[in-house]
Amino acid sequence: MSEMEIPVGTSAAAWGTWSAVLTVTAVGLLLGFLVAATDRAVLTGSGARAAVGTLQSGTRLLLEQRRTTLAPDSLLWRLGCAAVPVLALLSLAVVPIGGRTLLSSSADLVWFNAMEAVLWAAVWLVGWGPNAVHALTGGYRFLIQGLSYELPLMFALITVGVGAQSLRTTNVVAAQADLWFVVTMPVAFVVFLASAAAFAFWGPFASPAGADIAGGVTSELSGVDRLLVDAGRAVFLGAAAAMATALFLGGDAGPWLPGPLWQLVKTVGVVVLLVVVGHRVPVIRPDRFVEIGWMVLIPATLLQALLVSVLVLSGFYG
Amino acid sequence: MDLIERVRRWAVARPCVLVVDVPGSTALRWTVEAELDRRGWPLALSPAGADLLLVVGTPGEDLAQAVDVVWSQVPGPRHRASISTGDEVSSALDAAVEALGEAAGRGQPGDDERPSPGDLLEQRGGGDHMAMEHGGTDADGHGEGVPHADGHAMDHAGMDHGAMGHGGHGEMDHSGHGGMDVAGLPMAGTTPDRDGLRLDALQVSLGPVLAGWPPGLLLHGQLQGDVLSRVRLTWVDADTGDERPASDSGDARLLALDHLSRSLEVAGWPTAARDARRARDRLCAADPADVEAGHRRAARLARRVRRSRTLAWSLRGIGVVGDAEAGPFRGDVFDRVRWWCELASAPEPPADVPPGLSLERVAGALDGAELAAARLVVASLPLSHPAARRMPLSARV
Amino acid sequence: MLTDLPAWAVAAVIALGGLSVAAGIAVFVVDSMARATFALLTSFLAVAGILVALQLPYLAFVTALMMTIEMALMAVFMIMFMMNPAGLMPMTMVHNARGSAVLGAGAFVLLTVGIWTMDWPTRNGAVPADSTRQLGEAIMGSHMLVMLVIGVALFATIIAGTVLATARGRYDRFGAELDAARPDDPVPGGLPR
Repeated sequence: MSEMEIPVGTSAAAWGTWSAVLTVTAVGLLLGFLVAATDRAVLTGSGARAAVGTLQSGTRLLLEQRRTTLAPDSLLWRLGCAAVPVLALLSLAVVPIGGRTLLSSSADLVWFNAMEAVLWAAVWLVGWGPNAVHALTGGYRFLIQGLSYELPLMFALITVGVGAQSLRTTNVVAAQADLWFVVTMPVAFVVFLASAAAFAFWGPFASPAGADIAGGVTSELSGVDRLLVDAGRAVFLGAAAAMATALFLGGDAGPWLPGPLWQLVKTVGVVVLLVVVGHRVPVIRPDRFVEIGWMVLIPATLLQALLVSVLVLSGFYG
Repeated sequence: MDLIERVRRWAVARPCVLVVDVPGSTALRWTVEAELDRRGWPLALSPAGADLLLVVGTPGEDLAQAVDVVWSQVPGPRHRASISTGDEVSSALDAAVEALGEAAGRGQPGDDERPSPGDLLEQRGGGDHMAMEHGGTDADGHGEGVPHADGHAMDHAGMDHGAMGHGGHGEMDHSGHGGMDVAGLPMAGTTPDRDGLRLDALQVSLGPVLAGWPPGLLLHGQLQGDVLSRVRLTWVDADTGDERPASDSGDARLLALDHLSRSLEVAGWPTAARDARRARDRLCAADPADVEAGHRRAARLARRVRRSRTLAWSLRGIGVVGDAEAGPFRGDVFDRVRWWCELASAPEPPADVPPGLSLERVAGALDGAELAAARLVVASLPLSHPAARRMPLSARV
Repeated sequence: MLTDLPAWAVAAVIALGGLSVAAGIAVFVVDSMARATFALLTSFLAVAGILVALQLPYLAFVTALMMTIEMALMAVFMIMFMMNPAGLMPMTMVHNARGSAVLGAGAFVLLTVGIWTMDWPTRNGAVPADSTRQLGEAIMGSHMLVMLVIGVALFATIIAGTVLATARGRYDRFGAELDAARPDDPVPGGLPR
């Protein structure tokens, strides 16, 4: 395994800090746009017009008045709104773009996980801040949902780390030179994608922003605040799709085409898969999902980790 | 017209619409929803997300007050329009988006025209009775009193819960340390809950302006965590002798599709809800070919919904109505959704549909339910309206 | 110790340490449960930042992750017991102010004196290239027994705490003979049983 421990330089070191940060931000916004436009296309059945519609509603929110409620906790509320997109972009910092990550440490996967965990606090604050029942209900629905997906997600990430024998994303991509991890880790792959939908509280996991509670955590948001939260969710989902590509689908590996293009193709594929499949099912109620998370997904991901550990010991991954 | 103004107008060219449907204007709402779907204008879930407030039908006094409160919460640029006949839907929407464009083109609106939350609070609260009625403030309905012996709160039903039913901090009758309030809002007091604990309880009211909610319905109750208790249901403007127009519902299949779309929306399945609306719009059409297409659509949807394991898994065991009196609405929410599916995909319009359940019955089913379950129960059950009871559905076909 | 670090890291440790202490003080100054919770979280995140500056990324990220989830869970209990969102009811965050102040100051003095008077061992060997790997090897190697015992003890504590806290046991759910086919729960779970 020692030949895989070649640290690839960070994109900040290779391209200069500011251009690397700008690249990651731009990629994040593009991914978010891709997610939002695909989502709108599937939801309204409007096809290509959805791309324009997404831009239009983004602009509309930029120009819209911000509103407040009676006796809100403004500080925590606005902090929560701003944190959502920031955390989404920070989680993208450990996703390889053009073969390099913005940040690289010996614990990249834990960083990704930690950004998603801090999102718990952010979303809860968005629900708490406005001092309204529907928003608050949405806020704690998110936490209950989090308790169901968090451990399976951790085990899925640990499985990847065990398989690659490294927590550095670039090493994980390098370890898949012979075989994509999705082949030996299908359970982890599915759990990762489901968790991605869950922490972006989107599609079947959208109950924190559900129609039955008037939009839940987003019910009191208007203008820039709503834009920040909605865009943050979309960027998070896009970042998770890019991360899934890097962790399970060999990152930028592929014949004929240049690496970044392969990565783009795979990421778009994952996004489309997520959105199309996601809208085929109704919202999964958090109170029912808790039992699935603890009684089915945790044992399943543990068995997956065991299988991969045995494969590692038997020298399967080389 | 300079560039910035053009961008502003372009941005609101496909606005988010909050539809307020007045009881008795169901058919008109269907026309409006069809037109909105055709134009691709999304439906807003709360006043905060709306640009256009669309009142469908002619509201009674109380509902009109509720609409005023909702309007005060819509962020600018905004526009408010009302539609009262089916012929004017398209032109009214055109005019509305034009007016909205005007409003947006003028730039960022100031707050001067908008009453501050505190002002609304004072107007409504009155201060002379314990039950504080500030449902209609920007703070989304912080509380509304439980009806008192003098029935004071009842007089205002409809106006103090306009705020999308964001519940509030109810009054302190049960807590024994009354008088404590912050920003004019009384604090929640503790009462025993469903599971035998003592938890803080909020007095909340849901409706009448709420997505996927029967028009004109008001729910008053107590919320502990997200568990509802002491539920009471009323109709807005019930005492004004609302006359439901005969055009309300021609075909029971349309009603079934309407219930389906509402249930699916609340169950969080927007694509299926959209299909239900589309099938309904086709079935409404005059052209027999369209009706045939609508029927096929409805059948397809019914198959899809009935087969969905996730939906069955999600809705099983919720809102069980046990007794035989409930007729076809016996069972849980999923049974009722399947029943609506059956009705919607029937080849011929059924002759008669059993009357809806009384509000007291439904309120009983909501006691101890979680917020999500309560919404599903209300969406899945037909409710009897005092005016509708006089006019059985078969008489209107 | 600190002098082994580059200047920026020393500056970061000092700044984040100050932030951590200030946020810790804020916990007792603010008058709302939510703000106290999130002031505490800020303090923990600042400590995670210090760990980053000390080039211990794994420990830093795990600290951020665990502490955030912990604070979020605290928030859940806060809502469960109090239906007053957005800190509407100002409430004091200190109880037994004098006693706690004496205890806190005493502990602070004790620890500070200890830190500055202790004869710290000097580092033998070089800084590891990969602190995460070293940590993993320590936990899974020389310290495995300790970690396993701690892990099992913590897990047992969690289970025991839940068992003590829950009002309904298996006899309530499955009947006195434990022979009910389906548990009698107020809210059914997601598994068909």
